[in-house]
Amino acid sequence: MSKQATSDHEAEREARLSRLLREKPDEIACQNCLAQLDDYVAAQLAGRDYLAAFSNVAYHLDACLECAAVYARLYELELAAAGGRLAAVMHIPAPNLSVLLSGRSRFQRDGSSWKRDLQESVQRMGDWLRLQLSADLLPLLHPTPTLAALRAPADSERYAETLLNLEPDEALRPDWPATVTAYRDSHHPEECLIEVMVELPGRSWPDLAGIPVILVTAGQRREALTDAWGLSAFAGVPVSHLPDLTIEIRTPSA
Amino acid sequence: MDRDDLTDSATLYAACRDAEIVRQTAAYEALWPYLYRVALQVVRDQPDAEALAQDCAQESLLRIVQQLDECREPAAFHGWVRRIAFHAAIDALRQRKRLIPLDEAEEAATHSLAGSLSPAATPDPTAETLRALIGRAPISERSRRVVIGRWLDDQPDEKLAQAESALAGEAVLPSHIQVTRAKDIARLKKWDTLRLWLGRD
Repeated sequence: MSKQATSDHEAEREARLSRLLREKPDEIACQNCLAQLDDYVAAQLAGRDYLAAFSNVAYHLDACLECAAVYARLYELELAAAGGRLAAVMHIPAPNLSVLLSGRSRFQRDGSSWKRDLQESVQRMGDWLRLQLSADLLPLLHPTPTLAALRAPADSERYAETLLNLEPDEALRPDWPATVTAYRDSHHPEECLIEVMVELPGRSWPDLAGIPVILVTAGQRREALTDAWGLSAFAGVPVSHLPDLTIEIRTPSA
Repeated sequence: MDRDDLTDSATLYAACRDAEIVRQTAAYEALWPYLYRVALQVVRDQPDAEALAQDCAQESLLRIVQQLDECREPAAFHGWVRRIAFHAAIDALRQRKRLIPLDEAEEAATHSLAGSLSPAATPDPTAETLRALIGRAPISERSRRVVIGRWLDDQPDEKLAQAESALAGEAVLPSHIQVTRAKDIARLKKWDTLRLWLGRD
C-alpha cells in the first residue's frame, strides 16, 4: 500500500472514531442493537465475520455501556452453554409449579369451552352430583394462591403448593355447587390433600354440616361428611391419580 | 415418563405441551434445573446471586408457559428457553440498576474527575492526530490498546483478547474487551481535550 493510501486509510478510520466519539446513543439505537444481539453473538461464536455482518451492532456496543454489558453477559452465557460449562450448583431450589399452572390456565384457557367441558363432566344421579375430572380438564382448573380458611398455620406450610382449583362462578354453581382444591403435601410430594367446600343455595354455617362427599380414585371410594362450614378433606391422595378423580356430593335435587 | 427421557429438546417441548398434568409437571420439573443454572450464569457476579437466580428462573418458567406456542423449533427448545431465562435475568438486573458491574458503574460516574481529565498542557491539541491524542488520554494502557486496536488498527476483539490474555497471564474474553472499550469511549467523550479536538471543525 502506498504512503498516500495508508494515510487516507488512517484518516478514514480516525473520521469513523471521531463520529463515534460525538455519538449520543438514543433508545431506538439500543432497541435495534438488542434485537440483533442473539444473531450477533451467534455469528461471533460461529467464527463468522460478525463485525462486517452486524457493523451497526458493533458500532453501537462501543457507544453504549449498558448494551455492551448486556452483550457481555449474553456472550459469556452462550460460550458457557456451548461448552457445557453453565454455572455449577450444589443445591437447586424447588420450582413453584402452582405459578406454572396458574400461568397456563390463564393464558391457554378458552373462556367458554372449558366451562362447557366442565358442565359435561358433571352428572346428576338422584340425590347425588358426580364430577368426573379428566386429563384434558385438569390443566384448566385455575389454582389460586389462597389457602383454606380453616387450616392450622402448620398445615398452611405443609400444603402451600396448589395443584388445582375449581371454583365455579355463578353460571356454573347450579351444575356444581362446590369448590375443589388440591394441595401438594410437602411431607410426601407424591401425594396431595383434596378439599371439597360445598356451598348450597340458601344454606350457610352451621347448616352445611353432615353432607356426604365421596372421592373415588383408582377404584377406591372414600367418604367424608362436611363440617359446619361445608368443608370435607381427603389427605394422602396420589398426585398421579388427579386426572382420574371422581367426586360425588349428595345434594337434594331441586 | 422418566426424567432422563426429557433431556432431548423436542421430547421436552412435547412434554411441556402435554395435556396430562402429571407428564406436564414432570417436564417442567426436568426443565427447572436448566433454567436455574442459566439464570445463575447470568447473575453470578451479584452478591445475592442464588436468590436472584431463583427469582429469575421462576419468572422464566412463567414466560415459557405463556409463550410456548411461539416456540417454532422444538428441536431448538433448549436454546429458546435459554434466551427467555437470559432476558428475565437481564430485566431483573436492569430493575435493580445492577446491569453494569459495580466497579464500572462507579468508574463511569466518577470518570470526569477534573484533575485527570482537564485539558492537557499541549499548546494546540487540535494539531495532533486522533491516534496521538488517545495515546496520551487519561485512560489505562490496556484501555488505550483496546480503543486504538479496534478503531484505528481494525483488530477484532478475539485478537485483542488473545493479546491481553498473554499480557495479563489470565484468560481475557472478547466480551471483557468490549465492555472495557465501551467504558473507555464513555470516558473519552468527557475528556475536555478530546472535546476541543472534536470541535475543531
